[in-house]
Amino acid sequence: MLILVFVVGCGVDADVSRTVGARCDTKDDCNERCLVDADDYPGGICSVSCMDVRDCPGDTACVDDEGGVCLFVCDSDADCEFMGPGWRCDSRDARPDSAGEVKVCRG
Amino acid sequence: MSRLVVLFAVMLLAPAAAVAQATVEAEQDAGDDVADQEIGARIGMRMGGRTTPGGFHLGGVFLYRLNDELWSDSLVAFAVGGGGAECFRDRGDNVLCDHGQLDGVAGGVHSGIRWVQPSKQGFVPYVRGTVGIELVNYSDDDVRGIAVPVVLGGGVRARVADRVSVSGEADLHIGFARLNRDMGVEPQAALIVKLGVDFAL
Repeated sequence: MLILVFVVGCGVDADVSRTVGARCDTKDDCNERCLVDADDYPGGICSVSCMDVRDCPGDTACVDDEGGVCLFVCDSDADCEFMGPGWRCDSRDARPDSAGEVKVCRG
Repeated sequence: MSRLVVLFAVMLLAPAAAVAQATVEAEQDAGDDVADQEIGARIGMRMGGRTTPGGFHLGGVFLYRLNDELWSDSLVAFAVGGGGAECFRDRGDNVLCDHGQLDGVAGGVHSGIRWVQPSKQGFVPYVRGTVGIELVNYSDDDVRGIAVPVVLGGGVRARVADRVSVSGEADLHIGFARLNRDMGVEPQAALIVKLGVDFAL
């Protein structure tokens, strides 16, 4: 199984913005969509829909969750500490299927 | 902070203190062809950014001559810009904004001093300093507050008719604003470039 590892600019240095990364309660807090706290995204996180990594900005990857969303890539839990309590580095199916798995920050 | 308070006090009190002297001098200048009071209009562009509104600048001016070189300079001004929601909560739950240079809305009053080069011919340069109070609003982000800007600027003016002058001005607008959404005090900085017309009363 292919595991994608993004060495450059893992989550620790990621830029949080209204596009990806900001805390949110509703989509009005974001440019496109809000993945809410109740769905295992502690504090909520702004994200964008994607079909593959080319749709994702900066240090994010396209994972096959919530219909395809961009999340910050990571190597270890330490890379997700900037997201706050409850976030960890987890392997998820990437989009498209041929991309295998990718490690991203989630709750 | 204390320096700012002193500057604010000086700029507000100086025009009032000089009015008495100006009254005397105005009487002495009874034969002078320079009016003691003028009103004017200003249009231009204001470039702000982050939490300082910018956009189309519209203003109304009242000038009161204190002596040959100094005028009391009072201004009512508005900045009307565009833009959408540009604020977000970072992971520490702090609200951050990154508005464009021509975003937001502001309106307020300013008062201060204008120094005019003692010349009555051609283009006459001047410098001005004012202190004001403004309401700041970014409606799409529900961000609003009160700003206290100091404005330093200058320009040139030329008389084009018996009681009409035109001018070109550039102002640097710096200060701070107290904003809602727990943003606290944010710095304010803008550049205003404008054209004006003044009418002697």
